Amino acid sequence: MRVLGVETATDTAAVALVDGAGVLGERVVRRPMYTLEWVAAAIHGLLEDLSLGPDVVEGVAVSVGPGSFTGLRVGIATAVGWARARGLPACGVPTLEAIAAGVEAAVVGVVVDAKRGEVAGALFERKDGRLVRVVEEQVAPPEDVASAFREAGQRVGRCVLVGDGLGRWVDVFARALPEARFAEAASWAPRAAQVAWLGRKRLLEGGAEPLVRIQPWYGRTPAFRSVAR
Amino acid sequence: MSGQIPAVFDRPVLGIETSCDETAAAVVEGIQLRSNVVASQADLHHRYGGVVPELAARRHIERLVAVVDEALEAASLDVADLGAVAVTCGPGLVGALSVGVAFAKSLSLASGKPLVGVNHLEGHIYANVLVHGPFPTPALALVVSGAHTDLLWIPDYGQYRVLGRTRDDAAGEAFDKAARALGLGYPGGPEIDRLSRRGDPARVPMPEPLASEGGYDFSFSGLKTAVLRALQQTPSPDPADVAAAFQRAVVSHLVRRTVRAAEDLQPACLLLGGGVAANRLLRESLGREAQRLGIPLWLPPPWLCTDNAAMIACVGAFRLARGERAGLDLRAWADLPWDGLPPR
Ligand SMILES: [Zn+2]
Repeated sequence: MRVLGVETATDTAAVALVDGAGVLGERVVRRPMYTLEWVAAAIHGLLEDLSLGPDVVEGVAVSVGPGSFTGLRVGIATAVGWARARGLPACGVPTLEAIAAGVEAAVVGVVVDAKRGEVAGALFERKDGRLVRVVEEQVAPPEDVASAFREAGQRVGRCVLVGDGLGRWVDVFARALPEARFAEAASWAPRAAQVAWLGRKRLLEGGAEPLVRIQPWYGRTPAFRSVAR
Repeated sequence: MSGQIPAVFDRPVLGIETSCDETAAAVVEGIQLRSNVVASQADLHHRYGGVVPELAARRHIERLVAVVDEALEAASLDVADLGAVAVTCGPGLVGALSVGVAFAKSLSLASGKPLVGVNHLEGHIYANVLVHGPFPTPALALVVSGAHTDLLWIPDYGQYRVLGRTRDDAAGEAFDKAARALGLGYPGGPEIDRLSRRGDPARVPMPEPLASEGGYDFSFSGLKTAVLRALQQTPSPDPADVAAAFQRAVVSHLVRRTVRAAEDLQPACLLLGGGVAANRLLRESLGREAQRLGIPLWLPPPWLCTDNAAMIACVGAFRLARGERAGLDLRAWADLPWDGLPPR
């Protein structure tokens, strides 16, 4: 099954096409506020790179957060629009799980900068090739996420930390988790290839979701204010 | 002196509209309406006294695919039967617009159907075409909504010259603000209209905006101030009288400037559009004046005055027939000029 993956939860946007043999291609760019202009053109470019038409796509997977509110909606609208156009199965993939999937370690802690002094974090343990949540996704101050990791870490052992939240908050996590290792910055961003790969597994197991159910996981609710003065 | 009626794209066009607080999809074939689905968010924003941009965008992504499904189903079509996709790309709330634009681009790319970007305000003018057919040119159009008050000269299809616009609040915005001052709900237009039915506009004095100025611009902030001042008086006037006076002043300002332009330029027809075009008094007053001038007045039915995707698909059909296509890099604009859409 050839699966298109869409990843636009963070400042790094990516699209990828995978099949049973692995990654056919991927386009990635880190350019904030550019996702809407970029993503459809990137899918088109990726298919052109491969000399393939849109009809080769057999399933669609999309990163559903936590992440940038607008970014998530652009990615989901893109994925759902594609799946609707061609009647394809589709599913959402948790963004932090997609990042963790790119790190080969028994225990992986993901820390993404959620802006406004907060991070989105989750801790995963690999069991039989699957990522199992030890600490569920949460959007919170870095100190809180670090202490949640520390408590869970006492059960599951030392972890590898990954994600762009480390750029600003590395000291907080180094203090709370002195045993932890830190992944290189090149592996911090979520990748569409991982989204497509995880999504493909899910779709093959019958995990397609009704398109209306594929929704952003915002992680927090802002104070809503109207535009009226 | 009337211009030619242009050709229209003759295959079904799916329209998508998410610029503000209505999630909408529709199918138009030629200028025939095949389906029109609008999921209103009015209830959602009501308690905030106005549209909350983040909430609007959240509701769009929750509903868009179901709304599109319903529009296709009601037209007995699937994506494969479409000739093209038209989507609002501005002006509006960027986060809200982004949902529709991203969806439409992907649908277009995956299905191989051409895509066209549409100016939302142009849609409000074309709501008329869906019920009355193509309008003769040159035309004079008044577009009045919660965010815009524009008087336009349309020498030919797809050509716009802004004759006048509001210098402060939009007409719909003025209704919202006056409604709030009167302790009424949102949106203000229908609330004020309802209250003013039992009021006497002659009992509360209202200024005439820009009375001493030529040109075709509008201004509504002075009327809003007059409402606040009237309500502070003792003994306080009947709110129904204040509402009636305010509504009459807004409408006569709109009508006076439009009539002036019509007398100066002698259009082949007069077009009204936008949410405020549903206002009963505005329709009556403009109708009387148009009749006096001997210029045909085109009004959309109230259900096509509020935001919808049928008007977007209709504009799309004209633009597609002119060979216009949007690129995959189409984006969303908070503001769009009337000419040159979309800016490159
Ligand atoms: Zn509108």
